[in-house]
Amino acid sequence: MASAPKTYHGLHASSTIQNERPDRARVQQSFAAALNQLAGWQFRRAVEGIWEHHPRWSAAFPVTGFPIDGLPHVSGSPSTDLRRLELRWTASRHANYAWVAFTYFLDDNWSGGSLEPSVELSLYKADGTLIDLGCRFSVSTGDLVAGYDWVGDAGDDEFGRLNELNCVPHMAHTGFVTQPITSLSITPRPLYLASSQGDDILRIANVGVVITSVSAFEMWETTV
Amino acid sequence: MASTFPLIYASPEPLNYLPGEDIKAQQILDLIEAQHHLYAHGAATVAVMQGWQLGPQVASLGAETSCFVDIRSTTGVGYTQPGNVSWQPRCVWRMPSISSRHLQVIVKARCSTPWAGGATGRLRFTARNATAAGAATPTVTLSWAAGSSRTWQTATLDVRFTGTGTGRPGGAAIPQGVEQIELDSSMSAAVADDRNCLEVHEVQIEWVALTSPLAVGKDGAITMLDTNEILPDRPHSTDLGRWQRDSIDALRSRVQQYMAWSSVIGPLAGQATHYLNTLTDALHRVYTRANPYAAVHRDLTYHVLMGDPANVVAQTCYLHTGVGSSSLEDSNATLALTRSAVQGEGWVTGTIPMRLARGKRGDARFAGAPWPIVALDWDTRSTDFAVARHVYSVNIWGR
Repeated sequence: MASAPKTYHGLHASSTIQNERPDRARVQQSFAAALNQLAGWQFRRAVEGIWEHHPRWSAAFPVTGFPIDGLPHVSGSPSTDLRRLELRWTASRHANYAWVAFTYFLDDNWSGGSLEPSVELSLYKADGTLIDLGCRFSVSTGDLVAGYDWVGDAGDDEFGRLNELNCVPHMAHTGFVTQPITSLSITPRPLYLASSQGDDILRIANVGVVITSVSAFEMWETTV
Repeated sequence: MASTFPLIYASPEPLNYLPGEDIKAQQILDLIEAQHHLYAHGAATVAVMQGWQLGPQVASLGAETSCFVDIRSTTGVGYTQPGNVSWQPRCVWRMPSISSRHLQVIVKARCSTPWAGGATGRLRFTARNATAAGAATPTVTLSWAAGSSRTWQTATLDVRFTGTGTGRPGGAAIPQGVEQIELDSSMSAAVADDRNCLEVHEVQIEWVALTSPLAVGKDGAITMLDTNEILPDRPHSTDLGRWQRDSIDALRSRVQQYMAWSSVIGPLAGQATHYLNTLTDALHRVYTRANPYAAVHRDLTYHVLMGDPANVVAQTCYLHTGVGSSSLEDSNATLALTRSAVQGEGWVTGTIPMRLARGKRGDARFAGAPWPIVALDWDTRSTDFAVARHVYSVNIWGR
């Protein structure tokens, strides 16, 4: 905070309040810690964009459910038919700094698939200017299914449920910005699909983004 | 009484409050300011955030998907009713009240009206207290001129959920769980072309933070402190500490929205209703990351709208909670959400225990996945497989 005297509460910053007993200072200290902890929690949730949806939200992205015959991604060229999700929030809302946690799970419907989708995360300032956060993540399906019994018919309703849930790596990524930001977009982008199989599906079932202010974040990390 | 309220939260520094030393008034002000800021802004979050894909009308509007995409308010090709100027269909989300003084939300939507020769597309948001007959139902309408392309519109909506519709003076008790926001759409004119439609891409609803918390004075257990309570030459009273303690406790218990998902209820004639169908859509699920921080330890509350519009039938769906990136094998709870044999939709409300989730946080299997997941899973475990059970709206709150 600025060190200049604050007056709007009617107090001068240089004045002191009688502290007859040491434990009162300790109480105030605990209040400060509690407030900061609360701020870390509540502000973190401030722009926590949880895209609630349905796993068949896969269809929400053109990148999902690739046309069986199309497979333009075999060539390795990224899809040009991208769907961008956009979140917006009030400009003034404690976003001078962002800690972005981005979680999702990707689901390849075919065990032999080598779908390598990437997800781009962009932040925008109030005037619409793009802030290049450098958050472009990619993950291969091989990473997703490691250690799990991922059977070929995982997409089938009967078996797919368990397998699908077994393959829910909630990837968390973080990025930092130091400018006021008011919107965010998420672009899933398939890099390529090496397989000619037509049942590869990318599902993004959960996207969470957390924005917080630097002070709240820092205190969250350090408070008791 | 109005305060110049900082937009950015300023952290009081705990190390400034050292026993045996004077506490500067500035430090007390830091605490008060932080408290006021939390009251005004904290948890004043984006409560509803939902997007839909844009796809072929018939396919995307079928019961196969719960996502509503084109809310096509049109009389065009493939439609069987001239309903383009009537308000429909409907989405419903339930929202908790975060305080008795937060009485407005900002509604935002991004839509398209793809045909420049068409009419104006309209989205209408309505705030409704579901249990208070005769309660005011404030509305606000957003409009997209013909030819708009994925543009945002924003408006402010009163959410005075009391029976009188005049707010909650005096901090009257708020019946949590009955406040809902409804959404419907229409076109301003009937133009017989299937391009004369409104495409809804994203909808968000967020609370309007208070700008002058000092004016509130007292809200339940939360006390706003100003010069009447604190003066430079006054002792560091225990009253001050008590007020702060009670306020912090109350803020810590403030309810927040973890999930808000709605299907589309009652679309145009000739189009399928959107819902999670327990009969055929075994994989239908809605995920959320709930209880994201260890400090959140209370059970969650769910509000689920379910029912069958055409049949008198008991309905049951199952709600599972899982932890981190684990499978639902490690669910900490499986809850049956049941409605008795009635026709039509109705709300089912209950709690999701999170105790087991806490216990598993130390489990190495969940390393790197600190956030428990609440997954809602509808399946077909019903005694009557011939009748679909529909789930229209899922809302989860936590404290």
